[in-house]
Amino acid sequence: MLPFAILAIEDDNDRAFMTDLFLKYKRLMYSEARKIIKNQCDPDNIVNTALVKLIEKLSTLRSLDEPQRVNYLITTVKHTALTEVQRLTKTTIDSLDDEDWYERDQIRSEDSVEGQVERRESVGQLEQIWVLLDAKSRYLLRARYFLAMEDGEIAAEIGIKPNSVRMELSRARKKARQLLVDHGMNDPWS
Amino acid sequence: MTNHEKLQEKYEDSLFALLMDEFAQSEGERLIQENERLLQDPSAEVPAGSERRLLQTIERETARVAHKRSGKNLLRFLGHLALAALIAVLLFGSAFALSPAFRAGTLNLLMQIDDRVASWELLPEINDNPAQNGFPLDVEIGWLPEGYVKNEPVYSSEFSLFIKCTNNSGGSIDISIESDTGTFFTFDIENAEFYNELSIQNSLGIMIVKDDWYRIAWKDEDTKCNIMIQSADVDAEALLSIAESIILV
Repeated sequence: MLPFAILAIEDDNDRAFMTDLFLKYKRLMYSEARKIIKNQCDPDNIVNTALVKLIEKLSTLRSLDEPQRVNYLITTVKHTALTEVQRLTKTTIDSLDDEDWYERDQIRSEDSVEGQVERRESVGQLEQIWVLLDAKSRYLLRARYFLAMEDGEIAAEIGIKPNSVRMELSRARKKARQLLVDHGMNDPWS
Repeated sequence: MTNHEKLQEKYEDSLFALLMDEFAQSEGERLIQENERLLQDPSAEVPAGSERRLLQTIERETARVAHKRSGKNLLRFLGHLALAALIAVLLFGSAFALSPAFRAGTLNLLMQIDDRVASWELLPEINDNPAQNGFPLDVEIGWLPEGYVKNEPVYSSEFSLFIKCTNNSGGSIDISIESDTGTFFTFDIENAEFYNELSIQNSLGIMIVKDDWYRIAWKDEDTKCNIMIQSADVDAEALLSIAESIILV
């Protein structure tokens, strides 16, 4: 009977952890899902699917500190929403804009030099050029570095061959690097 | 892709991972602030029905994941158990094959565990063709008690040989030889007066005394044949002398 008792304890702990996380950030999860699906589908389905994915990654979620955990939570919601919209609209990930709602201190192509310098002081380098990246690059970089997804998982979500993921990621990194250089930031690879 | 290119890619990947980690931290902090704002916004409330369904999803999925995890743990445990058993069997088999003392100890233990029947299996080896592996056509007996003579085989085949040595008083000594094709002798040792291992012709053997019958069995190291001699008409010392003088030819 002991293994069943341990199982019940683990189950209770996991349920309590996930319930707390959901209740704390449910509004944020719905809000981020709605920004992407734009009434094309039910946000309940998106959040539900995201929760199923998150519960599979409970050990990862537990290991993160609060800001990183919230980022993981919302990135999962965003990716679930993007994949669902891609499926419903029969489009590719390139054509889906996940950042038009983005209201942050970031470099816009029309920003002045003074404005760019001022913003550089308050946010990270990559964050500043993030919105200038194409949607597919953002998706790939989040999948690999925020969610630690394997090539096969990424390929299945966006409908490309697993062998192509490495090359696509390499291109995404090069684009980000070029944007960093173009906007006068230190080239981290040099 | 050359080795240098692979290393370069790993280097870029690691650097990018650091940048993204910094980004994840600041993005998380921004999202926490956004959540604080939403908590003050009544229009951002999640419908009660939706919340209830999603809590049910959490309950169901955490139970499923815990169940799956316990199944994996059980399989891992059984795998370790099977590996430990395999190692124990291999170690035991090796020790049993290589050490006469260990064999004797094991047989003693078996005999102590089951004091009714002793199965005496003399380490069968692959030997499907006894003719090629030197199954003896006859037995030379160097010594027999006075008055005893070796008779023609009672039974002879390519796998076994059964010979009787008799005297004029009706005394008899039986000699059985079996090729090593997995044949084994089984002795009834329930209420035996004596049973123990002993060395015969530098091989491990066993002697059993029960109901006035003396029995000795051992394996001939040259031919790999199993040999048993038994008699109710001679004593243990005589039987041992016969055993030591037997040569398979």
